[in-house]
Amino acid sequence: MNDDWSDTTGERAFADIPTQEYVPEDRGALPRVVDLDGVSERDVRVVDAFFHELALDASEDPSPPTSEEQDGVDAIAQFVARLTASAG
Amino acid sequence: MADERDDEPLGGASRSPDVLAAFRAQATPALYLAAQRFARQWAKLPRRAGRRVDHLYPRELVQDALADTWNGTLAWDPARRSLLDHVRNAIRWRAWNDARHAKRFPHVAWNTAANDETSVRIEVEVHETQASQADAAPLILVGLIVTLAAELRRLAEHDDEAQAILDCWADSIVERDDVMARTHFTAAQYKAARRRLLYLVKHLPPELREAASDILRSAS
Repeated sequence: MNDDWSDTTGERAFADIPTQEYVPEDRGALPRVVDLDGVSERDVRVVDAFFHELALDASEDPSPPTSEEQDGVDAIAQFVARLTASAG
Repeated sequence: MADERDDEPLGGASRSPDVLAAFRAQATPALYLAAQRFARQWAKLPRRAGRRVDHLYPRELVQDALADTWNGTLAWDPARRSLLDHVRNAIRWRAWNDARHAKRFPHVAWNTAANDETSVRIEVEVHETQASQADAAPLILVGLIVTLAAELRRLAEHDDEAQAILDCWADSIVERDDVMARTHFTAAQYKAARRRLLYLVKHLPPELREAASDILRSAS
C-alpha cells in the first residue's frame, strides 16, 4: 500500500516494505514466516490457527461495544465515509 | 494512524461497480466492531514478536484492509466471501507480516514521536535497531512459534479430541466442517474440544501466558 503520506516522525519506519503483501483467498495458505530458519510449516499452521480461532471468537462476540470500541467504530465509519465518497 | 489523514483524498476506486456496491452494502458499524475485535487479538502476535504496537494499531489494521480493498490493492470477490471474512484474512496476513518485520522495522506511534525529546530518542533507537538487526532473523517470532506450538501439543497430549484438532490445524485443515469430516466429531464434540483447546492458554508457561492473557478473555 502507499505510505507516502507518512510524516517524518518515524511512525512509518517500516514503510519501505509492503505492509499489505499478497493475501491469498485460501484460508489455509501459510503465512510467509515459513521461510524463516527454525520454523516448520506444521508449527506455523498450529500457531496461525490458534491465533485465528481466538480472534474469530473475539470477532463474533455479541456483546455491545465498550466506549473505547465505539470510539473506534465511529472513527472507522468516518474513515470509510471519506473513502467511499471519493469514487463510485 | 490512518484516521489522521483528514485532508487527503482517500479513494481512487478501481473496482467494478458491483464490487463497490457490495462494499458499501457490507461496510457497516457491525462489521467495523467485529473487525476491530478480530484485529485486537491478532495485534498481539506482532507485539509479542517485538513490534511496538500502540492502542490505535488494531484500528489501523482494519482501516488499511478496508482502504486497500476499496482501492483495489487487495482483490475481493464478493461472490466468494463476505467483506468481513476478506478483511479478517487481510488483517491476519498483515499481522504476520508485521510480526516478521517486527525487529527490523519497529513501529513508533506518531503522537509519541511528536514529542521532541522522545522523538530524538526513538529516532536514534530506530536507526540503531535497523543497523544492528537488519540482517538478523526475527528470532523472537521464531521462538514464539516453536514454543507455543510445542506447548499446545504438550498440554493437549491427554485430550485426544483437542489433539485431533491440533493435528488438523497442522495439516492445514482449519474450517469447522473440514475438521469434523476428518475427525468424525459431532458438532457438539467439535465445539467442546475447540473450546478446551483455546482454554489451554491458561496452562501455558508464564512468558507465553502473558502473551495470551488478553486473548483468553475473548475465549471465555
